[in-house]
Amino acid sequence: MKFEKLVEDEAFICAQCNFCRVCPAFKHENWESASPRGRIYLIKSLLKGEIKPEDLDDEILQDFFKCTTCGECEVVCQTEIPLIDVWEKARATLVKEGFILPAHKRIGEAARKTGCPYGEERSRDWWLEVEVSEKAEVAYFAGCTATFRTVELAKNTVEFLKKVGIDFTYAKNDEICCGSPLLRTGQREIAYEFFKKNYEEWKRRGVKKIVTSCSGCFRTIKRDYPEIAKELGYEWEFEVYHISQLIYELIKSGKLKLKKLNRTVTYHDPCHLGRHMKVYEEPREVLRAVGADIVEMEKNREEASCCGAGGGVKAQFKELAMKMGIDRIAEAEKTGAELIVSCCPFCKLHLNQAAEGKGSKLRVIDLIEIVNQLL
Amino acid sequence: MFKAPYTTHPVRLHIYSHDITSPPWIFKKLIKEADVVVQPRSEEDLVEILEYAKENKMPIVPRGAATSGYGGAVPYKGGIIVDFSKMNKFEVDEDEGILISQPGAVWLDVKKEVEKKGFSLKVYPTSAPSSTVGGWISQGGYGIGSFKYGAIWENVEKIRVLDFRGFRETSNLLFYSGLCGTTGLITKAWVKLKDYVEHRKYAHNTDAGIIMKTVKARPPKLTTILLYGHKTMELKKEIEDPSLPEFSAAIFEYEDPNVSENELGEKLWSKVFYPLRIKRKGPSLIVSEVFLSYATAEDYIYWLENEEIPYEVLFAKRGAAVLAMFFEDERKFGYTLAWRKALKVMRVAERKYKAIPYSVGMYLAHKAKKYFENYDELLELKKLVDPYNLLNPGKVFPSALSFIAKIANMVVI
Repeated sequence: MKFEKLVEDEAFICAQCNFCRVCPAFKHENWESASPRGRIYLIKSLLKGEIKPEDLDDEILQDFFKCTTCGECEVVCQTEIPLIDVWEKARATLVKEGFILPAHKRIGEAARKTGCPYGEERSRDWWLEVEVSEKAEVAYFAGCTATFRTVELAKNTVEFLKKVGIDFTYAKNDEICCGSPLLRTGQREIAYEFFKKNYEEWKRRGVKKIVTSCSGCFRTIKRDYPEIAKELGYEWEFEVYHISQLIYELIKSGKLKLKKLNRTVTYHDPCHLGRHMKVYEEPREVLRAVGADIVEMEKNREEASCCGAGGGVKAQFKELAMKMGIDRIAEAEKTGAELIVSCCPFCKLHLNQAAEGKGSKLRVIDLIEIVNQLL
Repeated sequence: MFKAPYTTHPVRLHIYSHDITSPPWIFKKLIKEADVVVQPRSEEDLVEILEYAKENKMPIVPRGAATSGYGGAVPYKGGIIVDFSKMNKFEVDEDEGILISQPGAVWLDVKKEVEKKGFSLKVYPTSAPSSTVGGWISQGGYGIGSFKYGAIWENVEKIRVLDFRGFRETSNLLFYSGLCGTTGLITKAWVKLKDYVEHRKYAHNTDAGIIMKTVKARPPKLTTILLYGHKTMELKKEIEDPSLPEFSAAIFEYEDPNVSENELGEKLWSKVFYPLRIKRKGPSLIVSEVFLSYATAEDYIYWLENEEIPYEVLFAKRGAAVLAMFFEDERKFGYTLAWRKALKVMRVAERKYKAIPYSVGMYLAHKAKKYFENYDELLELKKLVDPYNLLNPGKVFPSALSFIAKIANMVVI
């Protein structure tokens, strides 16, 4: 089997040292076929012909995809392998060769049909209660999860942008999924179509800056889109911000004064905002600015544990996703915090379900909800 | 087959049937894959595995994290890989200052916990983020702290071992450490600890001759000396950190909170668990690792310097462990030639500088007689506890493969 050059080269660089045992999914699995080391060895064996594509049965394929692409393995990698890219590119090759898991296939089909991996047919602006500009330099990109699952994030973001006087546009029903779940599960072609649609919409609305409240969308638009644009021959001139960065900039420049939050909180780093995009301090600075008492979990910033939902794991491996979510809630409980604050609708959705499943009193609230309430 | 979790899935067996080395194809052809991988959770599970092995005459291959490069965890004759990852519990006897650990506990996890309880490990391997307590004891060797405290076996009070005669507890580590489980499977280890002390690191550009003065002076609080040759530093500068100097440098670790740290010390220590980062240069890396007494270590190190071979030296209590590195690409023909180079360097070290292999495992089993001073006694013990040669056959005690390795060794050189 042939993989992209990056995947091939990095598979041979792997030292097989197993420092990547930190993988939060592998902790709940028995066999190394579900560990980063095992997966790399499998890729290498496929390249060397020691394993044939026909040897990849459901069991092995499932093990390969039991990865949230959280990147914890990349942080500890002895030979500095860009593992997040390796997993995504290897998945894309496997999918191209017809190795796709049923839930991922369903996501792809739903996204193709409705423009949303949840298969939602509701209008994307069903939650919008305020007027927004048709054209503006700033665009708010709500994304599918905040639009259809944790709508409080979208509502709070829009309210916040209004209150601070930023003129912005929101594409409403002309917004389409950013493509993140498709890129993470190896279904690149659909994501490329979505890129084109979003790109054209932003151009039509005169957009120069894109603000997201979702870490997954932020990662995709800020990191994947420029690469896709290059590949497809589009010019990429957009500035992309996560809402936490925007809030931090407004506080730093003295343009935003907030009331105080007298609570003890712990901050959960979303993988797509933290490890993938290295945004660790801005959300914490915002929390400090509102006077929150931050107690860190043992694993924080680049070592933070994944919530367990990403990379198509929540869709395909619900139990595994729940176990990882419960691990993170347990870690948060140890801090004695009253609240978990995060910056991602998907993390919020999943960790709240995990907290409920664990019987924990802790709940996750998004940073934008806190900030908007304190404004 | 077993009460413990096990797998016979062929792809999984393939994934478990190797260690960190990628041997040349000719060697690989001679090595089988495991028939089953099993993950015991208790001593009872292990007893069941041994009974099954005896009944079916199947080899047993113990596996910690498979982070060694000597083939000790490779199922040369197939059989049962015993993956100890589920036997990973440990506790600290705070009164005695002893770590009591199951074999699958990972050194870094252990280190964090013993420090929380007011103790420090005397020695631990540079592969600590993944390597296991049982794995390191079985493989043998030196690590952080070895300048003061010696090899791992010197820091283990006793072990509990299972062989075909049953369980025994023994303090005679020389019959087990470095033996890769061929004389019994370690089921528990009592590891000596020291009271917690803050360790300080200091590094500077230096060379083997200067370090030998420190070795002779033996400052009482100096626990670790690690020397990186100039070619290694060049690679570290290129791959790890452009601000590093390109001259040979050594890092000194003291169990003394009053020692002043410096920037180079901090930089080099931050990568102390990452000696293989420079493998990116390869992408494949072949090593030639030997142990020398202090009478000849300095000359061998200078020889490596002159030959422009990248190397690292870990100075231990009674000698130096020297790792020479060769970079190649296993996808290319030159890979076999790089193995040849590595073997040649080992030959020079052994013949001219009286070195012994750092470890023998499977690939160097033909050198076991030279390596183990008590080889004849070990052989006696082996016959007694493992009459059917099922405990990790082909390792340490020479086999047909070792014979081929010996011939290959002679041919390539």
